[in-house]
Amino acid sequence: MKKIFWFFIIVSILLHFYALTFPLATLEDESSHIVRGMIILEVLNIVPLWAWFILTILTIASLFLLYKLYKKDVNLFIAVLLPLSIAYYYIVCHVASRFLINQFGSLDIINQLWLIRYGSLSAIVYALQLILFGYREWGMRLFPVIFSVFSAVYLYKLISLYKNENWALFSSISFLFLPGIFYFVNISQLSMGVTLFTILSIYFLMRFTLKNEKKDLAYMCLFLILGFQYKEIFLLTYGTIFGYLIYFYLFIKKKIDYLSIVKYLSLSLIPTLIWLVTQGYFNNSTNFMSSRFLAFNQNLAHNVFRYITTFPSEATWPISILFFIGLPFALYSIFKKKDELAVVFMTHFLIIYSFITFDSLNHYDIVYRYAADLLLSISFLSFFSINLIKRRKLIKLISYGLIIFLMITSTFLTYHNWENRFVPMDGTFSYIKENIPESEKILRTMAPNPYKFYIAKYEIKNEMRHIVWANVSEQDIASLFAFMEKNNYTYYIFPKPSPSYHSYWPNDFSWVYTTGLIREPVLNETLLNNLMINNTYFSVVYNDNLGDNSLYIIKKAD
Amino acid sequence: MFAKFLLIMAVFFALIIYPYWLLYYFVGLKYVFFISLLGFVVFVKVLEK
Repeated sequence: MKKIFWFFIIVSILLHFYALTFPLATLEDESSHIVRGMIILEVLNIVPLWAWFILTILTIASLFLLYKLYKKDVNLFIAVLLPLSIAYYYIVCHVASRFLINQFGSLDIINQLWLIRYGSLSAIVYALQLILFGYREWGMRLFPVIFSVFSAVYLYKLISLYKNENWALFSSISFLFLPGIFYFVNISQLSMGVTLFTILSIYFLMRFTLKNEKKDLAYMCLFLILGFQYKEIFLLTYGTIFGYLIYFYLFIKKKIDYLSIVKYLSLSLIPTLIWLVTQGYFNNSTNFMSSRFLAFNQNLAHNVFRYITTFPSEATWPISILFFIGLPFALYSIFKKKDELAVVFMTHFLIIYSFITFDSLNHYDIVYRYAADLLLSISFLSFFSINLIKRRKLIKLISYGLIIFLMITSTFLTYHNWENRFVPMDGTFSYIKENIPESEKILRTMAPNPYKFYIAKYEIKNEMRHIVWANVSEQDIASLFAFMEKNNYTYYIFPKPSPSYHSYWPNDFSWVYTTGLIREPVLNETLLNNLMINNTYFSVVYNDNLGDNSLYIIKKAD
Repeated sequence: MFAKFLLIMAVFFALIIYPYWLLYYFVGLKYVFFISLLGFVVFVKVLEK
C-alpha cells in the first residue's frame, strides 16, 4: 500500500477527533442504538466486580481451549461445546429474568424490543463501547471510526486485486471523505458497520475466485453472518453476491468450485433465517423485515428519482457529475472487458437503490442514511470518468485535487455552525445533578432523544418521565399545571421551538414536530413560547444555549 | 483452520445464545433452543465435510 494512503487515513481520523465529542444528537437514531447497549450493560451490572473478573478470564481461557480442541478433534469439540452452551444459556436466562423483574416488576416483551429490532452484534458493540469507555460521547462513536478505517483499507485491497493503485487509492480515500460517509462516522450510527461487512464479504469471495483457497470462503461466511447480526439491511449484500456469481458463471466462465461457494452461502443463511423468525415473534410493526420487502410503493414514477437528488449533498456536485459520466463507461467495461469489480459495485448500487426506492418506509420524504449506502459504489464508479484521461500525471493531479476538495467540504459541513445541530445536554444535566433534589420529579417531552444516556452519564436519580399530557390544541399553561400538580411533578424540561439540522443537510425537522409526511406538532408552540417567560404558574430556573438551540427547565409554583 | 473456528463460534452465538434466551422466557418456546442446537450440529458437520 502507498504511504500516502496511510497519510490520508491518519488525516481522516484527526479530522473526526473534535466531532466525536459533540453532544448526542436529538432526532437521530444514535441515541436509541446507545440505549440498546445500555440495556445489555444494565443486565451485566447485576454481576459483581470480582465475578466479572473471573468470568472474563474464564471466557478467554475457554475460547482458547475450545480452539485447541477444535484443531485436535472436531467431534470432541462439539461434544464439549454443546453442554457448555446449555449451562451458559441458563445462566444468561436466569440473570436476564432477575434483572427484568427488578427493573420493571414483570417480564415484559416491550422492554426487550430494543434488543431484537436489529441483530445482536450491534447491541453488543454499543455495550462494549460503554464497558470500555464509560458514558462518554467519543466512546460511543469510536467503533464507527474504526469501522471506517477498516472499510477504506479493505476497499483498497479489493480494488487493487483488479485495478491499478491510483484507482484503489482514489476510491478508498474519497469514500472516507464523502460528506455522507463523514457524517455517519462521527454520528454513531450503524451505516459504517454495514459497509465494512459488505466490503469484507465481497473481498473474501473475490479473492477466492482468484486464489481458490477455502479459508477465504469461511471468512466470507463469517462476515455475512456478522453483517446480518449487525443490521438487517445487510441482507441486500446477498443480492450483490448472487448477481456477481451469475455474471461470473455466464460471462467469465472460469472453472472454480461453485459447489463450495453455494454451500458456504447457504450455511451463512441458517442463523440469518432463524433470526428473522425469532424477530417475527416479537416485532409486528412495519419495521419487521418481511413487510419491508413485500410492501411496494404505488407512486413509482414519482419516487424513482427521489434519491438521485440527494447525491449532490451526500457526494458533492463534482463527484456526482463524475459518477454519471462514468456510468456508461462502467457498463461498457462490464459487457466488453468482463470487468468483475464493476459488476459488483454496479449490482450493489442498483440493489440498494431499488430497495430504498420501493421500501415501505418511503413515506419519509428522503432518508439520508439510506442514500449513504450508495456512496460505496459511487466512490468506485466515479473513477471510470477520471480514467478516461490518458496522461497518468494528470490523473494523479485530479484525484488528489478531488480528495482535498472532499476533505475541505466534509470538514466544513461538520464543523461550520455545528452547535445548531445539537441541544445543550451537558449543561442542563449537570444543573439537574447539582441543583435539583433527588426526590423531585421531572416531566419531559421530546423524542427520540439522548436523555437515557445523559441520565446515566450524570447519575441522575430523579424520576424523569416522558409524557405528552394533552393534545396539541388543548395544551396550555393551566392544563400543564393541573397535570403536574396531580402527578407530583415539580420541574418541566423542554426545548425552544426552533428548527434543527441547520448546518449539514438542510431539513425542516423541528424538535417539537413528529417526523413523517404529515408533520403534526407534538407540543404547542405558543405554550412553549409563553413558558419561556416567568408567569404565575411557572418560573424559569435554568436555560442553556448551544447555537440557536436552547433547553429550559421551569419550576411549578407551590 | 482459524477462519472456520471463528465461523463456528459466530454461528454458535448467533444461533443459540443471544436470540433464544429472549424466546425462551418471553414466548415460552423451549424447544426452539434444542432445534437450534441441532441446527448447529448440522452446520458444523456440513462445514467439516
